[in-house]
Amino acid sequence: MRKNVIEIQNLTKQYGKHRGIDNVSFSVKEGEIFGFIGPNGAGKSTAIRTLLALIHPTSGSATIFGKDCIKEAPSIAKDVGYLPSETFFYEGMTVKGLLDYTAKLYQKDCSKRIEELTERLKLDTSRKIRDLSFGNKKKVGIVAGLLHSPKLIILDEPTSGLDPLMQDTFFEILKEENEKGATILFSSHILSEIQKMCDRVAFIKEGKIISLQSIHELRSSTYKSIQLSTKEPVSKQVFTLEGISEFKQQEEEISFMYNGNVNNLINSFSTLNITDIFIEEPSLEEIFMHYYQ
Amino acid sequence: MNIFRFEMKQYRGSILVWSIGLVATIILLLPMFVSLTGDPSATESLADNPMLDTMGISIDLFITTTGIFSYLNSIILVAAAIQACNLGLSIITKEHMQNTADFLITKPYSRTKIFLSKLMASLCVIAIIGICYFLASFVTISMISEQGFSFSHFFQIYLTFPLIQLFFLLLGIMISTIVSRVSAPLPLALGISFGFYVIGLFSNVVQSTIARLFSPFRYFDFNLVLASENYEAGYITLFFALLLLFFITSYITYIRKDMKMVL
Repeated sequence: MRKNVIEIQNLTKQYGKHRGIDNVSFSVKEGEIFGFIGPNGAGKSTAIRTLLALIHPTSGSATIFGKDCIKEAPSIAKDVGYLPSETFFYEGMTVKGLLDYTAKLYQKDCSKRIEELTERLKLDTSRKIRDLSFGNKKKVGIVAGLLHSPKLIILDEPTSGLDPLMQDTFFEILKEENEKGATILFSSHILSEIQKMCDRVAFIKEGKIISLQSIHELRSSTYKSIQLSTKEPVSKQVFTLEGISEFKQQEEEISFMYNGNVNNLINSFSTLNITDIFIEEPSLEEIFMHYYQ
Repeated sequence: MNIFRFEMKQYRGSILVWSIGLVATIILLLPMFVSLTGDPSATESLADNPMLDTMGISIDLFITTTGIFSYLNSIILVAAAIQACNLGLSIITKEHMQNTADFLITKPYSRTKIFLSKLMASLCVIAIIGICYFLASFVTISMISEQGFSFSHFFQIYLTFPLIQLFFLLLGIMISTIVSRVSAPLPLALGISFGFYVIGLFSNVVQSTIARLFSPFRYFDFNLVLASENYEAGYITLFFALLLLFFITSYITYIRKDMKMVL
């Protein structure tokens, strides 16, 4: 059985009267790509910043590699790579100078890895940080976060500012790191990224975890997305079956979400003159909207 | 050591500029003041000068080269305070202003190590400037003192320079750990340093021992040093107690502080 790399127990962080996170508990297994999803301000970054000892929890505990996140932060940091949503570095330094300094802080010779990553991301290391575009600064962040081949990679909205081609390269690099054994905690509000990358996902809303499921379970769970086309407009009264939600009708076109026995649903259609029917796993967007409405 | 070396590298220019400025000031002004006050009538004209009274300077100081040095030193101390306070304010807050605090704190260094590395680097910066000032003052005073001078008097007066630097450095660090984001450290350093200096002048004018407690510039009475070769024990105790308070407050605040998120 794979051991837990991250374990969060009843973690709470309050900023005065403001809520940060409330009683958050979840764990991330070794080698897993774990998605952490929620709208802006839901508490994703607060949870991540507590894991990284940037902020201190009000109550609860969090461990990484079995070590206390706050008390043993320096020892944990040796094997953690962190990429924040917005990357900031010493503006007067060159990219090379910054990356060399980062490697020195990890007390490792990372020159080959730096060369490999900067080549793949097409990053000019001779330029000064202050002269770089937002996207290029992000690339520096990626290299700085991965140059020491960390065992745990924590990503907080990592793709903002990267063009689609670079996003693909970045995901490729992440998948390679994962295949080599790295565990990844991937926080995002972009569902397609989570869908593409993650094994399991935790939904966070207003500082609380509202659901924790595997991506497969989530999509193949009881919810189905149904789309119907009928020959003539149908009365809404036909769709009173328990489990139907988010019902939308535009004359002959009907769509809704269904949570329940599919046979009962099909039976309820027997009186309808159907020209087309789609029963699909809902997209994460639909699930997302379902959770957050 | 890496953070220490990085910080030292960042302050190279500042060390150079401040050292040259202070060295030039003492090399140019000390011989000039000595030659001006060499004439007894010039010294007499300074008697009962309210400006000197305000500064707590006795006319007797102008009889010796060390005395003149102590007068110039009391003015140079304001510059030393500004430099040290600015350094103390910026060495911590620059990480917040550049939003690089997250970068540094997520590296395998404890906050204690980061704090001490930055403190050590800033102490080295003021030490280098202090040594340059000492060498320039010592060489100049040796060259212009025809009848020799008391090294002990000279050294005790000089020592107020690094001590005042240390005070304002630690005060600046303490403020920066509490406030975090100081967008303009230099104007703030100017305000703090001049503020304390003015309190010192005020304490001289009104002869208030209570006001004197609020100005580190007045913890070292040059007249007394030249007369007795000693600092006043009470003020020295207060001085070091405040240094300890600044250090402990800064350290605890930095260790416990939540790093604000960049928005």
